[in-house]
Parts: sequence; C-alpha cells; structure tokens
Amino acid sequence: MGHVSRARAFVADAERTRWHDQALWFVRAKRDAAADLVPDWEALRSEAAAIKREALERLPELWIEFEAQATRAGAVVHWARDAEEHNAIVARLLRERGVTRVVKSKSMLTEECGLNPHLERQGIEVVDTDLGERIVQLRSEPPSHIVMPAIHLRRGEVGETFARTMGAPEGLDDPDALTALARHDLRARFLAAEAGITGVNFAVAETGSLVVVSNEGNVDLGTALPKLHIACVGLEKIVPAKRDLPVLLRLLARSATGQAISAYTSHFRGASAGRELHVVIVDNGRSRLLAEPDFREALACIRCGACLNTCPVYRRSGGHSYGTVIPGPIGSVLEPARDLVAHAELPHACTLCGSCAEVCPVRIPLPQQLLAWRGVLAARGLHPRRRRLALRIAAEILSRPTALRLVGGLGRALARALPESLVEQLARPWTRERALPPLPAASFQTLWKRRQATARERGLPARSDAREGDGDAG
Amino acid sequence: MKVGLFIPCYVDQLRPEVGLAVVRLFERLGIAFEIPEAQTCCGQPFATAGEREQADRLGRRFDTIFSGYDVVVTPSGSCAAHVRRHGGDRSSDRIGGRGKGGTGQRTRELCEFLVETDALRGLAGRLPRRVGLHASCHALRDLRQGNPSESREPPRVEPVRALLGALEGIELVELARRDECCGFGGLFSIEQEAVSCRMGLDRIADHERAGAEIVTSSDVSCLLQLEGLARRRGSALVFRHVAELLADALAPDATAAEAADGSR
Amino acid sequence: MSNARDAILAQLAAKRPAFGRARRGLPSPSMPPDAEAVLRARIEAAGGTLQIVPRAGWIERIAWPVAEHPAAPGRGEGRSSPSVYSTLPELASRGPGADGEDWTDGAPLDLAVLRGAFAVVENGAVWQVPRAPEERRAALLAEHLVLVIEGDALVASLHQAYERIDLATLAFGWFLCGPSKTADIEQALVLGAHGPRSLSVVWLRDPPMPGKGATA
Repeated sequence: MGHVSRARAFVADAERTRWHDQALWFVRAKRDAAADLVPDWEALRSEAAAIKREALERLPELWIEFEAQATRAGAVVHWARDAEEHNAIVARLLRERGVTRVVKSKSMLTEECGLNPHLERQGIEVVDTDLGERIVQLRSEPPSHIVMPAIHLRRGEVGETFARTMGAPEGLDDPDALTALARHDLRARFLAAEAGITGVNFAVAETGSLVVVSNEGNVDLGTALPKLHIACVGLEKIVPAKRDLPVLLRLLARSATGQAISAYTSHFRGASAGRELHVVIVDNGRSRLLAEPDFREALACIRCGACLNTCPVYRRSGGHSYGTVIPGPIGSVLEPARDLVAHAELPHACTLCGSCAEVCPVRIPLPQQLLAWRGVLAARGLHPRRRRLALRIAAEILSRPTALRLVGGLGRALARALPESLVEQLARPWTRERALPPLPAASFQTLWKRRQATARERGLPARSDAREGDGDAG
Repeated sequence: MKVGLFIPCYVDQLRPEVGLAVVRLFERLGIAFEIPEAQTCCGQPFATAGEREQADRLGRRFDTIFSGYDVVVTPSGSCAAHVRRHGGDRSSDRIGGRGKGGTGQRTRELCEFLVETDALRGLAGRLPRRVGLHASCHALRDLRQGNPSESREPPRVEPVRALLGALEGIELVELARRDECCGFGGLFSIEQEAVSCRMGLDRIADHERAGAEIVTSSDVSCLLQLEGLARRRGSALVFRHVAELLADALAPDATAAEAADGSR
Repeated sequence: MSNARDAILAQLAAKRPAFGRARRGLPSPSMPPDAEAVLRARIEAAGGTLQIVPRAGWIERIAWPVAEHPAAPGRGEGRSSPSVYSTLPELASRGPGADGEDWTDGAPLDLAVLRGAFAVVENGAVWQVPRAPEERRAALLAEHLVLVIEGDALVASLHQAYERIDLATLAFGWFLCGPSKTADIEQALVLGAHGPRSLSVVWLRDPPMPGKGATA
C-alpha cells in the first residue's frame, strides 16, 4: 500500500479532509500574516538560505569546532554513523546510570532512528512529552506532521484516547480540559524522570551551544528536572556562529506556526555541577545525501513544516498517507533517498504547483528536487510498466504531426459515436468524478486551415503567412 | 517581429476554440503571426512525468520548429513555463534553448506577450460579467506572473489581471484562496485521482462562493480539470480561457455578453 | 573498524558541496518609533501581558495574576496566601520551598517573580538568565510567571538581542515569550501546557527624561 491508496482512503472521509485542509490552511494564513510584519522577509530567507548552505559546505570543520567547544564546557560528545549506533549510545548512557524513566521532547531524529521501541525493549520507559506526540504515542501511531504531530485527529478522538489510557471521563472533548489532564499526568512524569532526551534546532560551532525551541515548556521541564540531558542532533543542524541564530530564529516560528518566536528558546552549553549533558551527533544517511547534487540542498531544512502546511496535496491526504517519518514535500524529497523503491510514489504525490518552494524559509528548491526524483525513477525503470508504455506510445505519436492528427481525429470521432456511458467507462479514472469535455469534431489545425481556405476563396488577404495553409484541410 | 503561435497539442485536440480565439484576437490587434504546421507538443507532460528522454526529444522538435521566430507565443502558462524554465534536460541548455537567444528565452505566455507589447493599447473591450480568475501555478510561480500569495517580493504585474481588469463592466471576484492549485498536475490527475478531484472541487466551491459566473485562466489544462468536475455536478459556472474572453470582449461585431454566453 | 567520528568526518570532507551562495548580510531592523506599542502587541499576541510602571512602589502598582497579593503582610503561613519564588530583593519568597528548598517535590508554586535582562520589541520575548538551577525550575513549575525588566531594557530585534548575549560563556539562557502553550488538539490554543498559565512582563520605567526616548 502506497501513498495513492492511503490518500484515497483519507479523502474518502470528506468531512475530515475538509477539516484537515482548513486547519492547516489556517496555519499557512498565520504564517503569511507573520511574514507581513517582517519588512525584509525575502532578504531574511535569502540570508538563511546562504547560512545553511555555507554550513553544509563546512560541515567537518564546524563539527570539530563544536565538539571542542562543547567538550571544553563540560558536555560529552558522541558520534553515531547510523540509527543503530545512535540508539546503542543512548541506551548505554541510560543503562550505565540505572535510568528507567525518560522524558523525551519532540525530535524527528529519534523518530527516524526508532529510539523509543529500542529503549522500551530494554525496559526503559520513554514518555513523549509534547502534547501532540503524547497523544499519538498513547494511540501507538506515528506523528502525522513534524510540528503538529496529532493534527490528523479530532478532539473527540483525543478524548477517547485519554479515556482509554488516562481514565478521563467518557465524552470529554474540550481542548482546555484535555490539555489540563495531560498536563497533570505529565507533570508527575517530569518530576519522576531520571533523564531527559531532546532534539536540537541549532548547534552553534563557534560556542558549542545548543538551541532548542518549544511552546509547551516540555523541553525545559525535561532538562531542568532530571540530572541527565541527552541531546540528539543530526549532522545538518550545525550553524557557524552566534550571529546566524537571529536570522534563523526570526524565520523558524513565523514559518512554522505564525508566531513571532516560540514560547521557549533555550540555549544550552556544557553541563553545570552535578549534571550531565551528552550530545549525540548522528549521520544516518546524511553524508550520503550530501553527495547528491540534485538533492543535498534538502539538508538545509530547519523542520518548520511550512511546506506541509501549504502543500495542497498534504492538506488533503493527511500525513500518514506518506508512510514516512517526515511527510509532505520535504519528506517526499528526503525519504526516497533512504529507500527509493519503497517510496517510489512520493515524488509523484505533487502537482508541481510550487507553493512549497515559496514558503520554505531556507529556499530549498523542493519542486525541482521532486522532479529530479521522477527522473531518477524513470532512469532506474521504477515507474509502472503500463505507465512507461503509455508515455512511450504518446511520445511516438506526438513526434509526428500526421500521427497526432490521425489518432486524435479517430479518437474524437469514436468518442462522439459511442454511447456516452461507454466512453466514460473507457476514460476512467478521469471520469470517476469528472464529466468528459464535449469533444470537438475537428482539431484546431483543421479549423485553422479551413478558415484560411475560406479567406482565400473570398479573396480576402490572409493575415498570416500562407506557408502554413498549404496542407489540405482534413 | 516574426511571431510563431504555439497551440499546445491538447488545446489543438480538445479545445480548438481557444486556438481560434487567439487567432481572432491577433487579427483584431493586427499582429501578424504564423502557425507552423509541424508543431505538436513541447514535451512538458513527459518532463513532469520524469521521462526526460522523451521530453528532450519533443523539446528538440519544438526548438527546431520555432527556431525561425523572434517570439513564440502560446496560450498556456504551463507550456511556456516548461519551455522557459525547465527544459527537458536540466543538464544542458539544448532544450527550449534556455541560453541566450534560445527558444526558451523567446517563448511567451499569451497574456505576458500582450502586456509586454502593450498590444491592447487604445482598445476598449467590454465584458459585463463576474469573473473568477484561476491562477495557473506555472504562470504564477514559474513565470513570476504576479506575486504568489506566499511571496513578499516587490509587486509584479499580473498580466491576466491587467488585461481583464481593463475591460469595461467586468468584476473580478475576490477568492478566499487566490492562487491554490486546481489539482490537475498532468498525470497526477489520473494517478492521484481522488486527491486531484478534491483539490479541484475546493477551487470550484471558492469561485462559487465568490459569486463568479465565468472562471478563466491562462491554462486550458486547469480549465479542463475544473470544468469536468463542475459539469458533473451541474454547476452553472462557465469556463473560458482568457483568450476567449479577450477575443469576445474586443470583437467589433458582437456584444461581449452574447459572446461570453455562447455555448460551444 | 574505524571509529564513528573519524568515519563521519572523512565522509563529509570527501563529499563537500559548493553552492556558491554568498551571504549578503542584513541590515538589523531599527527600533520602531512606537516601540512600546509594538512590544505590547507582540507580548499580547503570545498570550502574555505587559505592565509599565515606575520603579518606586511597583509591587503595589501592578496587577498580580494571583488572587491574593504576593506581598500581603503576615499571611505567609496559610494556604490562602500564594506560594512565591522571587529573586527580587523587594519581594520575599514564601510558602513551601521558600528557604531555598527545591520545588521539584511537587509542592504547588503559585508564582515565580524573576528578573529578565531585556525585551525584544519585534517578537515580545524576554531574555532571561537563571542565576541558579532552582530559578529555572521555578520559572517552569510556577502557575504564573512575572518577569521584571528595568530601565533601558528594549532591543529592536533578535539581531540586537544576540549582540547583547555572550553565548561563549553562557551555560544556560532563554528567551521567554508568553506563557507555555499548545495548539496540538485541533489547533485550539490552550495556555498553560506544561509550564506557567500566564506570563506578565513588568517593565519598571521611570518617566522618560526630556529629549531621550527608548533606544536599543
């Protein structure tokens, strides 16, 4: 089952699709309004794009600098080539300290690595503390959005989940009351936790600092209370220096949610007395992507989710339809790099409308990248056979004007002669929800020649060169 | 200036009246043109499908056919964008000749051409109708015809709006989402049929809510998608390419109202 | 087996891209003429409040988010008085944990009153550096948070804000903007997700001296 069938299933629930579309469009509209309040919005995007690309050009130096600075400040830096190494490092750190209760804030990287199941298999309880992530964790579902993990759910479904898992009263569906319940439940877990795991928004090479943003305060409770903080960071998250932070932070929340800044923007450097900070730097395919000229700019992504919110396909097909850790346009670029065969439908889950590239705060050329993946799919013969055959035939016909006119004319004549219901049957799936256009008896070229012939007969001067009128009208 | 008219293959076969409207319009405006008979397809459907080889082949044909013209004009934002921006082969400038003086550089979407050459200067057209403007994604975001709603770049002229807005009696209705995709997307409309239709239906609802009588666009493909969905549902909306509206509105011998209502 | 660090660094060095996309630099946004109004609008948009009062007697002048006045005399022992964590000398901490004990035992903390360094006009955030670990915990565990900034305490944007921050020596510091919040259930905004339910920025500002306005 791929994106097409899952998307079809999502769209079949018209009411949910309408709601999902409007909820995300609302976020897009907030983003637009936030951009309106920044006078140099486009220049800011260009600057952020340049910063992230410069960082990608200097990755080894920057990470070495970060490591030296962070170590000097008392952090311990670890390196993981892949998800397995990452999970093993985190598990070892926890095991060595006898930790069994962990609180985790949102981190797409730990999702990508499958950290939770890995730790749970070792008897370590991991509680996702972002409300949306907690909701999907309680439902044993993956997040459907990288910023709003439970955006696919209605309030009643959250209420049912809380009733089943937290003893909430049946039928409770008020967001305030549901949030209060989760707050109460999670507060106790924060207080009991022995370690906090977080993602990282920006690692600053110059100072060895980590910047992590959140709205709920869960990142901070999860790092202020337990004595052990493990920060998991992908290779693409580094920025050269402090001066880069204002550029990126001014864009991040505005692009993500339309906020001028998140409620909490925390800067961590090293470990204070009696506490530990461990930084796990993860590759897991990123250095491989860096070698792909057509796709490596996707490593500039700052995970704001703006491309998801604006994508007309994402809004109507839901995050789960993508079947990936990261859905939407950026996911459709990143995930095929991990497994092209498994995600062969994703580069086609797009009309190339271009809206994603316009909202991207770091100017990732997403439509061109999706187009490039389509080219790779074609080159590797990964498109369905019927599709390839149909296009080959079409190209042959379109390479010959006479063939086009012949096939087109015959097709139209046949369609006009046959019963409408039969034609509609033949033209599926185009006609499942669409009426066929009324088919003209003659093509433009034919009509154009007739028109010129008529003009000549009447002795009127043809406005245009006669050369094109030479052929006989069909 | 030698003008070559490119009437894309699907317009040729499915909506010839759009091509004829361009002819009427050019004749009315006194613009001399030629329509090379060998023309078929610019290669766009193959490029968006990922089939570069076929796109390249058709792109080269296009290039050869239109090599002798100063300007290539086409009533299709997406074909113009393909020839201008993508080419069939991103690694070279062969296709559509994106390089200096190449076909790519000389290709213009119809409305863009009319505005650039100020072709309608001094002509008063009339179209007393409420019109919904469906922005072609490729005209808007590839050809930068106007400002996408996402962008905060300095204001640009939106040729379709400029041309239609100058017509007497016209009311361009205000949409809730002024530039969302119609869901066509070439093969997407078939392969992702369910999502595609949902997208199109949402656009139609927006035009209906805004009180449009006629929906127009610079792309026939968008109009085919929207019209198919609307007709199936018995919607009263009428779908016309900009060239049809302009040709009718500027026609000396017909009132615009009759022309716009004219059934095909 | 080579170690992961060296293997990753070697990979990155071998595949170094060249985008050739130079930075142009950005002019830092200047302080808007109506800085105070913009700051207030941004703080309120984030669900917080801004109170501007003269320094003298400010404790009596501002509106407190708790039912009982946090400095009401002689009521420190009863539960009807709010428990307070304060780093300002003019307001005493009181209630469980007032003697420097930690709040992490779950005792309810009604109010935290902390000093902020400065406020950022373009986004309504306050830069705050906790002096002690419990200060940060109090900022998170309190039901209500009051951040007090003083005097010439506004910067126009994050650009100027970072010019004031010495990241190289900073173990922890944060921008706080409005109360903790979530919209994870149907995009409905709820204040008080995990942290404080309200955040009030108190700007102690004596009437401006003639000929001098707020500057960055």
